[in-house]
Amino acid sequence: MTKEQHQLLKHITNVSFALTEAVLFLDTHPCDQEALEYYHMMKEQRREAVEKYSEKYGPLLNDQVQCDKYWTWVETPWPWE
Amino acid sequence: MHIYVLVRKIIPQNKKERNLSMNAMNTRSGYNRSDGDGADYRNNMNDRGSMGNCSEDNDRSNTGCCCNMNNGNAMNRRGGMNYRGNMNNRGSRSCGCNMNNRGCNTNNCGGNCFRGNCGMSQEEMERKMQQCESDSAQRGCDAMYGMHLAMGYVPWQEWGKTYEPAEGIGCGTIFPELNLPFLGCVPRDCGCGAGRGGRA
Repeated sequence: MTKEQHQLLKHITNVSFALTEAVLFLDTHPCDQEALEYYHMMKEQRREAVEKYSEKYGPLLNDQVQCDKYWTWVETPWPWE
Repeated sequence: MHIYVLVRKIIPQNKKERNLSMNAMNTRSGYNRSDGDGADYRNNMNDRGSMGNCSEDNDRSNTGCCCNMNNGNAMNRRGGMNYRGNMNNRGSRSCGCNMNNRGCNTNNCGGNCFRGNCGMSQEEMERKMQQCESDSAQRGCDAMYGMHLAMGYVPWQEWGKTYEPAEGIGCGTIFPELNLPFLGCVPRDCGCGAGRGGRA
């Protein structure tokens, strides 16, 4: 795994955590506008990061596999490899 | 972060309901309970140091030492079986059951239990306290002796500053106000040996 890939994966982990935190907060504060803004911001950051990762290093999640005749999920290294 | 689940359970979500649970002391934490016995408790504990709350009617299982009340004007009695209590008084008197000097660390787990005289005379209260301490000595150092089980409070959290995600994941929370040191304690030498090696 290259350093860049590792950093991108780390970034995805970080924003995913922040997103989960926002979700938990919103569970009890559903009307909080600042929390909602934060949630959308983190969600977008996560989406962009996952998309970037998938394009460069293969699918990160199993619903991101794009193939017709071959299960390309197994082609690329696992994230921990 | 799982604490939010607890918040949801014990704090009314509806703003109107929440306001009902708040009182003139402008506390943000409310715990409402309405028992089948007709008693209505609305106790707010707005003191970071307070560790518990016990009402005189709840005091069933101990020697009488765990009774709050007598926090000056902190608890208002409204007659009948309807009490609305505030635990807002940092300087309120403890009846001595928290055993600060018994060799077990109670600095953060029992030293601020609010207790009072339950309407007893001074002499009677002193006698109860002595009995309580005597019992405690036999039981070992239970820092929360006499406090009611399963009573707790969670102040209402408000959105504020957040850590950057990379810092937040290292702290286990994105909320600086939740990034707190662990201050719990395990009593030492309580007879069973379970607390040995625990954090003082």
